[in-house]
Amino acid sequence: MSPNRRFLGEFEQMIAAAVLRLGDDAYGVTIIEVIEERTGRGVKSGAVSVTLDRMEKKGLVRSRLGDADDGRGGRPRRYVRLTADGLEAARESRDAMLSLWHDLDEAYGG
Amino acid sequence: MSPRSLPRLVVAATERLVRDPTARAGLLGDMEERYGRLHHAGPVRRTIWLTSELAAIAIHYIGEDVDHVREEEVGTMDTLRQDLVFTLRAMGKRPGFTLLVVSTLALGIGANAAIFSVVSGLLLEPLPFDEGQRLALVNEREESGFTASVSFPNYRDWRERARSFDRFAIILPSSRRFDTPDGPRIVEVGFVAGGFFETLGIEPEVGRYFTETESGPGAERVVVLGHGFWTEAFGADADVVGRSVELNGEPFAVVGVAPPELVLYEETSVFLPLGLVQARLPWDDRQTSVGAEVVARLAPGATFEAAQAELLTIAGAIERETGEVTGAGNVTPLRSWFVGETGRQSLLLMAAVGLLLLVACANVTNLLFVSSERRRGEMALRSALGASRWRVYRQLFTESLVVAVMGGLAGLGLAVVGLDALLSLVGDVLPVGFADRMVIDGGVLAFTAMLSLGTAILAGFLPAFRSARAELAERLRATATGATGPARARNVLVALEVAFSMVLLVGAGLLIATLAELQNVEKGFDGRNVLTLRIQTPPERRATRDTWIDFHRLVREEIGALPGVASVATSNHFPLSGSSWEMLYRDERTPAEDQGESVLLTMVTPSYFETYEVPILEGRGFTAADRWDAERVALVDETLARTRWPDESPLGKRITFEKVRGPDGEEVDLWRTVVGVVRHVRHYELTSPSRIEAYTPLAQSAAWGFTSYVSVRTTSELGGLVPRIRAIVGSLEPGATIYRVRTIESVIDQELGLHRAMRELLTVMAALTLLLGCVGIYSVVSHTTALRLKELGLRIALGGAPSRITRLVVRESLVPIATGIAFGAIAAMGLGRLLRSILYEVGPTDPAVLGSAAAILLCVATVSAWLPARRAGRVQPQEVLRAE
Repeated sequence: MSPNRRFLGEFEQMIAAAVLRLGDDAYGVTIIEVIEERTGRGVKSGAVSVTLDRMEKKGLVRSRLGDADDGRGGRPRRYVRLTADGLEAARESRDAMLSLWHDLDEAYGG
Repeated sequence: MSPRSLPRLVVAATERLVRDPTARAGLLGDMEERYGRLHHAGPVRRTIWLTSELAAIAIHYIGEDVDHVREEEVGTMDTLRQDLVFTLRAMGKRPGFTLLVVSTLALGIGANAAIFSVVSGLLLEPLPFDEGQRLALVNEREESGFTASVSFPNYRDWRERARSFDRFAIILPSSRRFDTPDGPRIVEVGFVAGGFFETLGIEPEVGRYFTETESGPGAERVVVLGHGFWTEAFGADADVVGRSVELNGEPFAVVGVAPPELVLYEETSVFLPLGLVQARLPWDDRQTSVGAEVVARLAPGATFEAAQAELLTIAGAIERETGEVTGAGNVTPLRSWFVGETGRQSLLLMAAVGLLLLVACANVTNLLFVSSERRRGEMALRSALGASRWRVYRQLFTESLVVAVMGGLAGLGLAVVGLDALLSLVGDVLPVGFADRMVIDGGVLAFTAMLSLGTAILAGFLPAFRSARAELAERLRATATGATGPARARNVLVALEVAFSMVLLVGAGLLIATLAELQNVEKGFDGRNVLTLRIQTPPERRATRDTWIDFHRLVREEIGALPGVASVATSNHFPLSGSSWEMLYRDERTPAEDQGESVLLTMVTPSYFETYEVPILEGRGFTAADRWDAERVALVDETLARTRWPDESPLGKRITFEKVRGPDGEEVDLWRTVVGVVRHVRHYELTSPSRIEAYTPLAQSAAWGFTSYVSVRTTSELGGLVPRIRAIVGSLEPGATIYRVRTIESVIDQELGLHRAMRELLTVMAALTLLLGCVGIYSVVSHTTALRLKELGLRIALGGAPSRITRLVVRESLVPIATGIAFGAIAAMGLGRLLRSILYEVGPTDPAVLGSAAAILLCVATVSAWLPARRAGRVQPQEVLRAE
């Protein structure tokens, strides 16, 4: 494995997938909704926020603040989208996982 | 800002934790948005949500700062923060340990916070009256010790003479019919005089209270509405003043509305001037009281004790001046009157839950001990690297502080949930209106914060101190195994945990035994499958004795014809009904100048004894032939029979307790012949016998026309009986009103409410304490076993049978367990006295209870020691010795 390949953590992968799925509407609350709906797993705002911070620091996502919103106590939304690096890392992570699981249907009884 | 926005505390905490402005704005916005969607959820769910979200932010972002800092400059971090971050990291690495410690503390702290909010609501929060601590309720206490309501002449004399009180006011509870579109219903009313509201010091919600002229004799037909009634019947209309309310068909003008806090008994629906009914009351009769209660406000500088003494003196003076025997004013501070026994028991619960917390602390101390021993190497390294002893100490203390704070936060969440459960359990035994005051408020938060800090110091000091002190020695004895010092301390902890568990087990046991006794108490009657209700009739049904008696006879006949009804009775009260008729009893031997002794008088139809299954011990019961024009007869209870005629039969004796108008219009005694003796009935409370009792046939009573009770015994539990009874009464008399429908079993349930609530709460606490105690014993024994593996392995290598090794370990742990049980038993015997006031037929040192508690504890504790001790028996000697 070449050293410049970067794999996303499990939660980072979930967020990346949710961000891709949401397109222009990806921000904290919608990301949580997508993950909760699809995985049935409860997600905390703090966890999403800190993960986005980390991913942004690594250059995997870029975020911008939207307009202030009344339903949010006058606070803006932090919209995010994947950068080219982010997209690349997401794809590599996905491929790696799929290849690891490939042909294992019988082994795990699926 | 919308009312549903995030609490300021949460915003401030998040702002501190999240430094990056974009992340912060986005995160807070997300939180607001999601919190806003929770507005339909209850406060409990919202609080839990907030706590968990905040905890997530704290966990993620405190950790995040480290990464940040590590990349830049570690040196700029202040040491406190370093300690904190280090601790959180360390805890994150041992989630099982952290979870155990935090949940143990959460349990202890949460239980304390929940009980504290009850205690605070009962005893600490000011009463909703102006200077409520100066208010008292005054009733009369007779020489015999019984208390009674106040006679009007006494009220007037106190008002005139007592200097310790600024004000006296009187309230006479009664009821009136209020017609609604759904039919008539009975509302509680209070006739008041003497500036009732002004004495209490509480402002009207709307309008005003009564003026002097409105409330005196020949008062005007005005009313002040109770808050609940105003909301219910008038939709809380602010323009209610001037509107009219019809009570018993007569119109009254509304002048004001009382605030919601004004609740003295059951909530009074309507207040009326006493002057309206004064002419019909025994205004000048000192020997008669009709249920009036007096509220009084202490004069500046006066005390309740001085006021009590003064009222006793006044009673003496009245007796000298009038030659009449009279009860003296009996002062009860309003708070005690409200909370009484419940308040005392709540303090006891506070003590019990305090023990639970101490056991939790002991467990945490022990867990920290274990953890600090595992980290001896780390501590030694730290000092070797130049950390001062203080520095090491502080690191350890920070750890206990962090777990205590986390335990406190989690405990607060538990308290919110627990308080709801607690209130649903004890709601019935709390004084009216007090449950609303029991909330997790600033006071409870402060208390919880204090507890957490105290816990941190208590649980963390010993391990931290020992580790910091021990580090030098540890380095010298690097290979030492199982130091004796901590082992001894751990045994003391086990003994303490066992002792505290013992105290709570005994407390729970005493109440379990008390309730068992109370449920089988000889009450003198059988209330199973008996339903009671009150019927108020319009005036024409009460016009003469005959119309009144006939109406009730018809009601009984028709109800009695319903399928499943075994018998029906009419009476002036029933056992434990909370109402009672007391008369002055005399017989032929009572000297003429003697006023006689108070007797509980029950006026009944012949079927009463069958309905309540009160056994007739001697002579006969009543029959339909005992009419007004027949020979006047009475029954006495066994107590009266025994005390008055110890050596002969009371049958045929003549007694009197009523007066009737004689031929010349003067009052003469109405004499009756005793025709039977019945079992004594516990009328006032289950826990003690009542006064002497007598019965007269309802058809022969001097008094008639009063609102009476109908009691129905059914052959089994009957559903749908009440609507059929309503239909019967409604068809006989459309103007009649049925109210206070209760089963005797529910009345008894209510009577036992406090005992039951205490039993359940103490049992839960005892169980939790026992559980924590077991966890403590388990962890101590498993840790000591781990430290002694080498020794035990050697023993096995030398031929010790594994089962003997297990027994050896168990036997050694039995020493602190037995010591704990012994000390716990002694403490329980002392503390049991505090419970005495709600114990019944069970002494605080009941050997059966102490024995059972000790046995349970011994079994459970031994099992907790045995589980980890089994490991000792399975030690493989080769492995242990190889490790050396």
